[in-house]
Amino acid sequence: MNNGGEAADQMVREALQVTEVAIKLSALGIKNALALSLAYAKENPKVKGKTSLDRLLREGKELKIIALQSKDVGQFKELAKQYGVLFAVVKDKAQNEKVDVMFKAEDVSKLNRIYEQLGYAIPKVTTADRKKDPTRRQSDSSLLTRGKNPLDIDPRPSVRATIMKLKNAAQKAAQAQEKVQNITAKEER
Amino acid sequence: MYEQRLPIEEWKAKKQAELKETIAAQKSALQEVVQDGQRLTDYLYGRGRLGSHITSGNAALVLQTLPQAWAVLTAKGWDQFGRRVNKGAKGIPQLVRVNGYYNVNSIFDVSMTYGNKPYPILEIKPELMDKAIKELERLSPVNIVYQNEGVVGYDAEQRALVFPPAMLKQEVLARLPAEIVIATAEQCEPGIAQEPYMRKTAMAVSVEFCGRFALPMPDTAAAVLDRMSDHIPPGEERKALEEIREMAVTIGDTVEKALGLQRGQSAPQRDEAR
Repeated sequence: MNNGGEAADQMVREALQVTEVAIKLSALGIKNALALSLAYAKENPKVKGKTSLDRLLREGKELKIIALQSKDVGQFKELAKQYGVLFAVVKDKAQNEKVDVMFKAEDVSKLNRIYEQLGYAIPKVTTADRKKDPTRRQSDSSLLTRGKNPLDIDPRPSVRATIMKLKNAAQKAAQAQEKVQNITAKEER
Repeated sequence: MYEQRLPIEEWKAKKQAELKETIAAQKSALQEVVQDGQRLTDYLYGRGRLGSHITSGNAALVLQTLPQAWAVLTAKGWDQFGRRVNKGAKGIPQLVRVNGYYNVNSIFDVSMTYGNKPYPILEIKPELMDKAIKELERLSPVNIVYQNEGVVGYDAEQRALVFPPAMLKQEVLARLPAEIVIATAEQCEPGIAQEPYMRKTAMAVSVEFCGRFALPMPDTAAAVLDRMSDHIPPGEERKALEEIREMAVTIGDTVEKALGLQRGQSAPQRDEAR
């Protein structure tokens, strides 16, 4: 086999692989070119450069957004390709001077470098203060509510407290009765 | 009554030796197959006759042992089908993958079995020819045109598969798989149809398809497939033949399903490592 023949055979081999996939897709009922191109796109998805917002959203990853001057978009595209950043441009029709650029949160460090190269000031990282715990319900009895959500507290009256109240009342009544009995006994004597 | 059990180390060594022997046998059988056009044609037709679901290496071993084999299953497979393997029949070794490990198994041709249940022969009846052609047209990226002028087969100018109206349906059916492969490849890479390797591969798909449905293969098959080995790098015979099988299986399965034809068979074998 000469070199020219080898190269041609290699090309045929590659074409055969594509043909195999295409025939399989046709057998599955996917015949149009759009479906084919989609299938190839799935095999070789775009990983850097400009893409659509849909494609970014479909990845389901956290996205970040930055503002950019419209005139810098071209240079930004080149740098994004160079640094391997996948991004989508969101244009505001009312505001032509600025565009928003959306990208994956994991590419922040690369974006910072691109931003520097474009001459923009890197936005400071502002970390929100840790929110304090929600205020607990102010109550006279700290034992009842400490560590509990107010909603968790049972609104029904306590059975134990009712029993204690009744017991106390019964005890007092018994004591009063005893006193009365003692007095009548003394009087009888 | 039973043979004495081998010690585990000896048994392992025996199995390893069996495996190596089968792999070597497959390799040499595959190398022999691609040597000349007639052998390759017979092999592909035979593989199609076996249902195209047997891997290239295993099919080569079967056809080397029994050139007229047309239905092979394991002893258990025949049992499930409703036939029994003859007493004393010697199985044909097969390389099978079980749980990711390669193992040597034995399969038996229908001629090594007995029973009342006949094994169905797959064939396209004359009344089903039109339906089969329509189904193949559905697979094709271009339409079929019947006319007397112009080239026979894929016509790049017309972007159609051209056949003379007088051509027998059987002949059209036999040639269609090859033309579909060429037309599909042309869609991806214009001009590739002129490459000899592409023509040979397309013809190989047709021959295997013909074998599967008991159709007479195209007259020029052996001549076209001659010197196929020139285009296959040494040691890559299996890969090339598996590629052909994949396409033949896809086309054959589509027709089989559309025509409601059924072939008694065990589970299809997995692809061999390419």
